[in-house]
Amino acid sequence: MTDQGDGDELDDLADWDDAADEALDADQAAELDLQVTDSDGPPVIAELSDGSGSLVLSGPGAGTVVLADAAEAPAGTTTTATRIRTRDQALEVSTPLMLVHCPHQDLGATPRLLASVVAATGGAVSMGAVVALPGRTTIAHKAWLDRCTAASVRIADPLGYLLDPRVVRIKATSASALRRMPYLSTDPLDVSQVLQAQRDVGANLLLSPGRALDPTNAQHSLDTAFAEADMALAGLADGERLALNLTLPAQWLSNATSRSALLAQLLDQEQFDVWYIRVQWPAGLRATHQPLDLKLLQGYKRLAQLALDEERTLLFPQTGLTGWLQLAFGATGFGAGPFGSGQAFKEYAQGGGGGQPPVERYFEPTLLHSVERTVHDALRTQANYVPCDCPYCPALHSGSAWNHELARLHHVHSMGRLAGVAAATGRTPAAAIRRTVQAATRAAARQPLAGISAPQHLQVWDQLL
Amino acid sequence: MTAPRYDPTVVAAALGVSSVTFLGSGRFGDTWRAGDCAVKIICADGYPPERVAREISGLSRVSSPYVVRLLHAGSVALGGADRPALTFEYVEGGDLQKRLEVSDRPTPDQAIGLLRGLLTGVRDLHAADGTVHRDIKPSNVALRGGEWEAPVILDLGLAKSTTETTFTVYPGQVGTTAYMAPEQLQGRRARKAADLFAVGVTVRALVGGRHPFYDDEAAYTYDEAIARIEAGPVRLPPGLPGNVATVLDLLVSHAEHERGSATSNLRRLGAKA
Repeated sequence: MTDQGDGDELDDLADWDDAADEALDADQAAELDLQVTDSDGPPVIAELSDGSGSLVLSGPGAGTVVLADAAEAPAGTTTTATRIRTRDQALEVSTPLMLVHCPHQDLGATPRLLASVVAATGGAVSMGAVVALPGRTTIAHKAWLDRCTAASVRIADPLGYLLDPRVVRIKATSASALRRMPYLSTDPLDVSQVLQAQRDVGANLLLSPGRALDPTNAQHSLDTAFAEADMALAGLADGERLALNLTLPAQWLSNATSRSALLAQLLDQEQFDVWYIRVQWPAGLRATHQPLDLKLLQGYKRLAQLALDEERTLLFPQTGLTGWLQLAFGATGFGAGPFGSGQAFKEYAQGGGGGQPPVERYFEPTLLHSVERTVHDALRTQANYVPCDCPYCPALHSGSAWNHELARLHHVHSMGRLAGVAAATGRTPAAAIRRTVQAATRAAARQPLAGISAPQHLQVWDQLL
Repeated sequence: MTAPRYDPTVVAAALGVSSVTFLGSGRFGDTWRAGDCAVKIICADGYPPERVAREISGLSRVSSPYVVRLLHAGSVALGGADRPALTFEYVEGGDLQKRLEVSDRPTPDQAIGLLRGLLTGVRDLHAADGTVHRDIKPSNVALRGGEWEAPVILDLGLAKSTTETTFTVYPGQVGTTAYMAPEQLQGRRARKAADLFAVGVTVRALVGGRHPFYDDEAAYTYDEAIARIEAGPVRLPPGLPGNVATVLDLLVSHAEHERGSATSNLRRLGAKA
């Protein structure tokens, strides 16, 4: 079975079916709701930050049902220790934030997923929901973001880098994407249009356009991106917040000269207190695998350290586990999602493995890696194996047919729990993540893991920690 | 000290005061004390008017006990022409250059106070529309009341706001070479990090009694100067707390981003005792 063709290439933005835009696959969500069990413990609710009620976090209606009065909850319901955080609380540097990128299918499962992480971490992890603006209609985006009640932060990413195919390797922007987001048809783009498009879908953290920065013309492209961000900052209304949004080819972090220019600019421009930085990884990186380029990872680390030193909120969208690792060095948040584009922002490559059946994979939290199902089945038979108690695993393991959707949801849920590892262990993020990686390295060494099931990144990470 | 360009009685008459005391002379003008004020009179005919405007603009944006207070911006008739005249508070106590010249070195506690004061002034300056001084050096730092802990940053003639469009043509050096950051020596843009570097060099020079990178009376090409900065500063004398030494090391880093911001360095120094 090939590693390719597991749905990642289907997840490219701006190429989705308009007809599906208006529906939030509610039937599918209900179907999934029936499969999902929260058998351990009583139902959990958490107070909403605006005081409008309490959100059901587990059991029927999790993630979407809001009780106006907590007394309406079934007997035995427990309330989490914290409220659903406000946007500003979630953006504080001291609390981890996991962004979940809107998938191209199975959208209805996300509200429960977000709630399940809040419940599992006792509110220690804040959640964010991210849509790619050109990918769907305004109505569809707004409907999805509105349903993500557990998300403290709602982002509508304008994907300004779609104007820069000479800098980042991306799929050609579709006509429908250009129709939905007219700001992508003008260069230089209209910053006020970019902001308004985000407001229209209900984003509560606005982003600057996010043009891709050309490392061969470093200072000029930095100046241009920061000038656009300054314009965006000047265009904010009362109560709005902006993140500096940068899109970078990997060279910006792996090359010392480019990295110095980037970090110097970030240090100098103190007006931006939230950094939303996306780095493009090589096309050849396999699905669910992490980059192994030590220089690139050192660049990530140095960027995260700068954010920590300067008390900036640093968010790494579309990074999955590699973004999680950066929490150890000072990043505040990372982005993940059920599909490949939520876990990685990779160079677009034509071809791929279209038509191949998807690989049956399972994310093993103790290995910090997704292994093939056969490997997972073998691991489960071992005496010391600790089964996952997430809401998705009982259903996932209940039949012989592999349910890819449940496996993906388990993966994202597990990453949310990992984001809360510091709070769960009472350690600093650096110490907690170091111990988690060391434990995974030891666990991997005890298993005969090979091929795509081998967590090659752990050895590289060990050099960073 | 260089002689003044105009006779004191002429200057006093032009300013409408009974007497003035000559404080110093720069490339473009003289500074006089008149009562409780210091008046900087731009005497050079070719002095770029943009610089005067910048100094006024920079100072009007800042409110800090560690940055000299501009009281009035106007002009005086001298030598048959109207000369720009900037009236500042007079900071009594001498400047750091004089302390250097007489080898008056601060104690560790005084050095911490000096460093904290300069970083606070730079932080306040940078917070004012991103104003960058670009020429911090011992002769541009007065000590209010002669106290090491009360430095006052003077002379914002080279200051610019990062929100302004610069008129400087690069490559070209603006600032005083011995205190310039490597990026300035290379003719690149001087940003906030350049002020942090200059603060680091200034305080290290006072603490160590010598310039941290250059030997006295030696001449260096720009490339040699940059190479010496890359090689690292002379060691600090013993007695400074570890966090203070760390800050002084960071401030003179070759890479801009390694220097940190004034705010993060103040945090490293910790709360004032």
